[in-house]
Amino acid sequence: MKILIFLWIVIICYLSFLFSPPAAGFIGESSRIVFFHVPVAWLTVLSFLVAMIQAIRFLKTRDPIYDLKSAVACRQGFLFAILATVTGSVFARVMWQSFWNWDPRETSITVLLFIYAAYLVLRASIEDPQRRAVLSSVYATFSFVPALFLIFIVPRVYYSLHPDTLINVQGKIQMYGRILFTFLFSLGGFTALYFWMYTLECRIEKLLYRKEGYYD
Amino acid sequence: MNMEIKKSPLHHEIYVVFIKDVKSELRTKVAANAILLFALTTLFLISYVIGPYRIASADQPYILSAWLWVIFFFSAMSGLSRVFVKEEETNTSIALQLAARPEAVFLGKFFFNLVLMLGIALVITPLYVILMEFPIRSVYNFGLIIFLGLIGMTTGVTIIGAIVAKASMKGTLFPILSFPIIIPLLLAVIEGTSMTARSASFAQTMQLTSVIIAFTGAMFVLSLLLFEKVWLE
Repeated sequence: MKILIFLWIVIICYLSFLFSPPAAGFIGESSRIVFFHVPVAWLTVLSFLVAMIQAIRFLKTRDPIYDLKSAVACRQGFLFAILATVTGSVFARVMWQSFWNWDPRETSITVLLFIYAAYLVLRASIEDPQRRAVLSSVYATFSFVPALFLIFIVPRVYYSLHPDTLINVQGKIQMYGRILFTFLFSLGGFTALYFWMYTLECRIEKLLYRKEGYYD
Repeated sequence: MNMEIKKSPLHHEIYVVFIKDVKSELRTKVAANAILLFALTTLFLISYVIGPYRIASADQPYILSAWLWVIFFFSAMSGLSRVFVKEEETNTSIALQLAARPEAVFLGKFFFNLVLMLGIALVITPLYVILMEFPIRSVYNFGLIIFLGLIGMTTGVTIIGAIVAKASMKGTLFPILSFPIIIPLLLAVIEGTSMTARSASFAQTMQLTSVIIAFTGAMFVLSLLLFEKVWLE
């Protein structure tokens, strides 16, 4: 599995730097960052959804395994959020001569970063495992309200310099040929990488829990 | 003999929890004084150092509305978790769990926080407008935005207060957890407040008002659903 994903990532690197042409309307080769920035941003949102769903499952069943999965998703989501912010900022510098300008998308990713960070601080500040699980699950579920507004409503209501996403207001795909192929290939590769990372860390956490005697 | 336990209606329970909190607050006045003094100190600093004349009049709407909400946000952070923290500190939360339904506790404490915030705003807002010469074009729009913004802020922050009361480092944790939750609300509210200083038209304010109401509604419903989990933990 991991060899397959490794090869997949290698092919993504080859495709994005050598196979795909630079997109029109962007300065120099800057458009190539889309093959890395967008998948990482997508994973930020995906881990957020995973964390929320697992938190709700925990609140329904009170099975500590779901809380553990929710925490893993949040930790990884935090990592992806940082990567998305940095790659986005680099692109903004090349395209618009400024690392940071509070574009609606930049605002959204910052708040997501804050939410992830707040969740991790909350977890760290509660000693009792049962109580930690309940309170952090409630927080993960409650933070769905601002996330929903920031990810889906704000970037579509306010004017943004950010290039249109794949699913844009007109509902059209604005990538063609080699670029689209590379993009989808990369999106798939990163998603596979995410699921590998996620299941791996869940397994590690489960073993640690068993060893410490918190979990069955 | 009928042993069935009679349940009082929900609105009555809410009212009783609310009155209980008002009475216990009137004994010490910790929360009200903390919030009010924090707000007054900040207002004093801003007014003394900057005053109304050091800002170009074109920038006034933006800068002054951002500051007003900075004052409101951090004052709220200094006192609104008190309703739950005090129950944990005095170990009265278990008695309250037995005495009232979770929804009644949440709503009672929510209304208490709301009354507290609105009361503070009633003192601070006129003072701020006078001292900083906030150029309001439409008093009604201004009042409406402030009112809705405070309702929204209290809604989002009340359940966070309940979470924080069960954790350690309560004082630091409260703003850290609250900030990301109500950022979208604060952005809309600050935008709305500055708009009331730029134009008197209600149509533009209306658009932001609907965003604020939708956001508040979503937080309110989710709080009601989730509060029981936190409270009975």
